[in-house]
Amino acid sequence: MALLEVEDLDVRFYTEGGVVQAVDGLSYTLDRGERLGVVGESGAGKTVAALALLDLLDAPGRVEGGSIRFDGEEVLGASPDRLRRLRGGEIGLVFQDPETALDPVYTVGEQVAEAVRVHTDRDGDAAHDRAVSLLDRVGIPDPATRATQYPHEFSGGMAQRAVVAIALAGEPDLLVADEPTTALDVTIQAQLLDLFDDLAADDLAVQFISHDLGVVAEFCDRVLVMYAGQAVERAPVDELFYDPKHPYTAGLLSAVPRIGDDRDRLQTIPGATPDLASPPPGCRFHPRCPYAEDACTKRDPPLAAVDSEGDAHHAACLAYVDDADFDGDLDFYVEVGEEVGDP
Amino acid sequence: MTDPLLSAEGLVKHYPTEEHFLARLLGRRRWVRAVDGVDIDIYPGETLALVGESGCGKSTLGRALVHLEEPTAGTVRHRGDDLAALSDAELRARRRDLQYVFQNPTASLDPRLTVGDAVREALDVHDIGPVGERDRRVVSLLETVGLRPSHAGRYPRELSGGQCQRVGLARALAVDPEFVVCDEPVSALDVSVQAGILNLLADLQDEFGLAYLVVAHDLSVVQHVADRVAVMYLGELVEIGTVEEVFSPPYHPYTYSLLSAVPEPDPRWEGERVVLDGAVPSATDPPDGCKFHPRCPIAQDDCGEWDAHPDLETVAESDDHAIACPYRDRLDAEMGGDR
Repeated sequence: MALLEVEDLDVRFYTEGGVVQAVDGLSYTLDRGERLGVVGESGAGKTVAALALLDLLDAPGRVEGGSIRFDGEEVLGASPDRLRRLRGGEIGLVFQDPETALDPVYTVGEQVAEAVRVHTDRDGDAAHDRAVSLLDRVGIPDPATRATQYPHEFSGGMAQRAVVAIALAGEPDLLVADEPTTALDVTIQAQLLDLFDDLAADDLAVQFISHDLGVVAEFCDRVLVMYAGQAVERAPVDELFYDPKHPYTAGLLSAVPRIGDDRDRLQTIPGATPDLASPPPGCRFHPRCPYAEDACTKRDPPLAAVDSEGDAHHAACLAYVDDADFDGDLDFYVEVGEEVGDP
Repeated sequence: MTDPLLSAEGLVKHYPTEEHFLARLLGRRRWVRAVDGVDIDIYPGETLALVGESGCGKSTLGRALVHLEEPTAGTVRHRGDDLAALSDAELRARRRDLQYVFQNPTASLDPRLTVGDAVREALDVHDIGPVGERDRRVVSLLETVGLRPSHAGRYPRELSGGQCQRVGLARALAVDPEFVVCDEPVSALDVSVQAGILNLLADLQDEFGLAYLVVAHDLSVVQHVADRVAVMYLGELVEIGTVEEVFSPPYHPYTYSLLSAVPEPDPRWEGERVVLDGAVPSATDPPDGCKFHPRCPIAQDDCGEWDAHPDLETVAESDDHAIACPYRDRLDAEMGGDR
């Protein structure tokens, strides 16, 4: 059984401008120790979907349907007590900006110890000792001294490590990391990725939200691509990068500048992401899709297996829906030069 | 070679740290050495990228080059004239040639001005063109940067990040400059939007013959847009050269580490990664000798013992490529082959 099963999740925001379908029919699973990357542009629903896991959505946002099972147990509608044990306990959270995630008026050690006290039966000195060993675990040098310092005495990378230590306090099975390295320099990002690698090797499942395809390629086993609140492609990382099946994924991949390529112009995806208060009819990507046909404006394609053999690679495009009236051929060419990765 | 458009010599910018009153009274004020002796030339029509980690002084250098910051020492010459020696009126006239596009596209626009007014402000301030023609000029500028004339009546909050960045560019272009500093032009944008802005920068350069200084931390972006690259560490340049030269051996060990840290969007990539220890040291109290030596993968015993940092030395094969590391030749051996 998968550790996390999300089925048909719907999240809506009730705003003055109308009802925004921030997440629409999202389904995915995550196994123990697996690293799932969630990618997409701003506003694709990546963060909202992650917050919904822990019932952390604030008004005007609401989960309107679907099911979220963690370890076989339904999370939606669970008691406040149960949710408290899940949040920061069985599911740890790491957000983008470490400086805002930490409270400036408490020492870092106290903040980790607080999480230890809430989520385990350790108290007093035991909680403090555990906090120091967690700081050590996330690679903070001289953890006993650092525990007595305040967040402003930490650099961005060290502060993010401390946030990870807090997330680990409840000995979670799943870590949800929302753009955990986006605010950091590449050199510090490399250090953090090493840390995540190390943690995932300990059978910790990671849901890794990122807009950086390079980071996802390096860290994740499987990838979920989101567009306008929906999952448009789900595949093992290798297949996604070498054989993308959805036109949006292919567009994203070709928009990334890479070291070692000498293209004069970058590919762009024309247009902008749609207003989710009034999404386009049919496939939500069709107004920007170079392959769109008449049929695409009428029917919203479900995620379908892209070939008959494997069940691992799914894309939400009419081209893969058997009974669809779609006669075009999608043919993406992924260029992998010799020099790529060898600047 | 043609004369440089802008030329900085021994440029230094130190800021006082915020200290309390007593420390100031006793003269114990400390200084952040944001830019600490930089020589750099920018030629007409080229794109020079400035890269480095946060806090290395990239933005300060960019601002000092167009005299948005008064340098602590050193000079910036524009067409041979020292910017610091110009009168206010003369400097204002130079601003028409030297423009700056700020990092955060939404924060750099006045929320109470419509897009049209924001662009027109630049024309009014510098009194460019007949008054009656200015609205038409605003519309043509918006079209130049890929916006529609109807955007002129909108407020910044009604625009996306990419569109705001285009407005910032339209404002800079309004005065018909020859040099534009773009401070992290795409770091706040999604990849698909980022690609559009990068293409626009290239188009504008072709059309108007602009020279750019692109301040960036994303090396794959830099490799895509720049002609030349300058790598900065703790207020100093450690390497400078054409993109091809800087992105291939010989490397400064810092450049090498930066390059190897960039995640490759390719799951089958199997390169060796150099992970630097720790973070950039504080610029108030930088290390002695070579400022990079405490984090350097090939640091030698005497790297911390120089009186000054190692100077930029021209690499044998090319006049334009200079590296500030006397031990750069050891990099290959120590790192086990090239990357």
